[in-house]
Amino acid sequence: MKEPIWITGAGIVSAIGLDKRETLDSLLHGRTGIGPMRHLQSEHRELPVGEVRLSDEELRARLGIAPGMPTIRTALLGMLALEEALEEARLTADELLRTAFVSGTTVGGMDQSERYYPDFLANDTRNAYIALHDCGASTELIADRFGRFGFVATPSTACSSALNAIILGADLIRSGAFDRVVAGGSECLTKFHLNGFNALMILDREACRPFDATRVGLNLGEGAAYVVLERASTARSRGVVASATLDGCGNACDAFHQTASSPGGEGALRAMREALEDAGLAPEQVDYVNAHGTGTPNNDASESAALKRLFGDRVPPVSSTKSFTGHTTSASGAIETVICLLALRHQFLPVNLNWREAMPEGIRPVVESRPQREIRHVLCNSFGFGGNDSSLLLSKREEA
Amino acid sequence: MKKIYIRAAEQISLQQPLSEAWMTDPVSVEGPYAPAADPDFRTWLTPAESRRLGKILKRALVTALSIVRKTGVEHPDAICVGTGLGCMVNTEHLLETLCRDGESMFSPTHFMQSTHNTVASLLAIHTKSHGHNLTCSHKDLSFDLALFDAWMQFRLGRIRTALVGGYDELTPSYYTLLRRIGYLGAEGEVPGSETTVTMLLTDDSKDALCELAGLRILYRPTPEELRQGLEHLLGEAGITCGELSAVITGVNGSRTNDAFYEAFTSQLLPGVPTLRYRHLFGTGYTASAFAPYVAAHCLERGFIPEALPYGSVPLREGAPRTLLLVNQRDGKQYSLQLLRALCGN
Repeated sequence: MKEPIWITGAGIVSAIGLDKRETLDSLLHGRTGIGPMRHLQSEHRELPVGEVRLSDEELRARLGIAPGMPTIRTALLGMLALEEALEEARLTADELLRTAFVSGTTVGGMDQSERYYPDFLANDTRNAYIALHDCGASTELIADRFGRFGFVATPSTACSSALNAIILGADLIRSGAFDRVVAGGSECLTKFHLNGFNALMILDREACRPFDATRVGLNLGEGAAYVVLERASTARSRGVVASATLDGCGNACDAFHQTASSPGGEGALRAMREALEDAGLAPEQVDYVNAHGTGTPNNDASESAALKRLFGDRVPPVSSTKSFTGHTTSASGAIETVICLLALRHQFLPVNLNWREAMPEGIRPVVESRPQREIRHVLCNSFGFGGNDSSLLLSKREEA
Repeated sequence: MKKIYIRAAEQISLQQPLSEAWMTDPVSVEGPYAPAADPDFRTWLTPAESRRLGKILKRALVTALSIVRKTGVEHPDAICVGTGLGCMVNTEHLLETLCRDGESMFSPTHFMQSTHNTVASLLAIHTKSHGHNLTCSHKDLSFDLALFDAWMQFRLGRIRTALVGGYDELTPSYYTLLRRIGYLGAEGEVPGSETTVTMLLTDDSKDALCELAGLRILYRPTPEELRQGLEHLLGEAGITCGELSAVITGVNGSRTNDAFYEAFTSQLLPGVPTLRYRHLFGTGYTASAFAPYVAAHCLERGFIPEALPYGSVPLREGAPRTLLLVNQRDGKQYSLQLLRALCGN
């Protein structure tokens, strides 16, 4: 019997709030964070986005970072989320030495690189930002603010980076390398990936409508989230409690196309199955699925097919909370994991905003937040370019 | 605990591609920046693939295909990739477009091949591998973390084979940027270069090059923690410092970089011969992938090439049995690997 992994802390920052309390309030009141662009300096003002409401300057001020100190938005968002997670888990600087930090990102320091690239090429004025460009740099900026972690790593599997960070974290615990891991991810909006998604013609000019027959694409968002994973015995010995456990992980590859998902959702199905098998649960025990549900025609059709293959005609309540946060790309897996934790703790179903018309062969997502039965086990899906499909099984902790 | 083996290892670098000719006949490398020497891609890839795929993808794919051909392992259970900067050529192209032409000219094809996991995805598509697939992008430890991920999957009993690789491409203009920040191009440093190393790990010793006997990664260790980390690594494998045939370091001619290795070897491994490889393969984010590549071939062939030893401790008589590999960045993050020759070799 595997020793349970407790989740003893969580932090979240996105367009619908700067912490768990604000996030919960937005989810319960159906308040989306998607709206007109305010901070991102893009020409595409017509594209709605899910921006974290604070500007870089406001984030710096809140975190007490001096104005002249070079930093990147991905790191600022990550610091805010990590602070909340560490606080809830009551981790001291001394305990960080025996804790690993795993943070997923793809964008890293691209927000400053795209701003200063001509300077990078021409002169030495912005060298600090060259050094902050790569993915690992943002992870270390976030980690080092809080002390000395014993291990750091940066998974980068495009939009499933943060979920794969959590899986890597679980593997570190199960393999005996660490008793405690803080895992998640952080990603800010950039012109770089906004234009990339735009060139692929998968951005909606209106609010996204995941799983709706009229869906045409996604809205991009940004944010960060982390969870503190801890071997149950270690958490107990520290006298901390957990309201949820991480029971199953599935990492699979669609192995179909660089950016498109297979029609049958092969990778998605394998990831969900693996997570269930890992947790020793049957499909009918799943009480809620937080779908990847980007709102693109391709993803939602493929994910619907996978859900139907797994659950048959008894698909549990499913929703995409990207209708609240936008698609927070490399951070999404962790942001949606924390949303699942809130659903387990407060016993509600996060609704799927903007859904009106069922798509042919599609699933019918949750529109009513009151659950029909107790929410004990939830699946959280996160898929990325390259067919990097992953899924987690999270459970409400039963008092022993 | 089941043992883990390196079954095959291929490279494309400054040396002759897809070859171990460097062991007896190394190409001497010069200049601050040197691109890799490519094989004839047309013998491996279709014309469409040759045209469509960026260099980093072609190189990764060809080394993987070569391993599949040599070993017959067509569908590895896991694919674990490390890359410092991902598909940099495409990323740079998009950055240039953005700064020169604004936001109206963005190319979807370049974007599709610009994420860090593009390589692992391509390898999965070509080997039809639906299993565990992860890319780590963490500075100079990117490859080491990918190897560590594969190691954990074996230890957790989930896989029997894994394709593990370290990949980076470098353009002359990005080389200039990395020199600006002092990451590359220090005085006396070996060339900044590109990396393609792919290896196949298995849980079966048959036809293997060597055993991967231990692996440890440390972040911001104190000297005492580093000593303990090394002690645990050797202890778990049941060997002592005195039994190490040699230690392979990442010295590259840069004084600041080399000082960390000098401190490590002189304080923790006095009397152990030291070997280097970056003067043959260049330096860069995933250059550490050349270390197990080099070590595996030395252990399999039972000799240390003349070009590798440096320092004052002479090599011991006989075939190398156990090699310790150390990789570090700015003394901030360390990776230690232990590779062992197969019994009876």
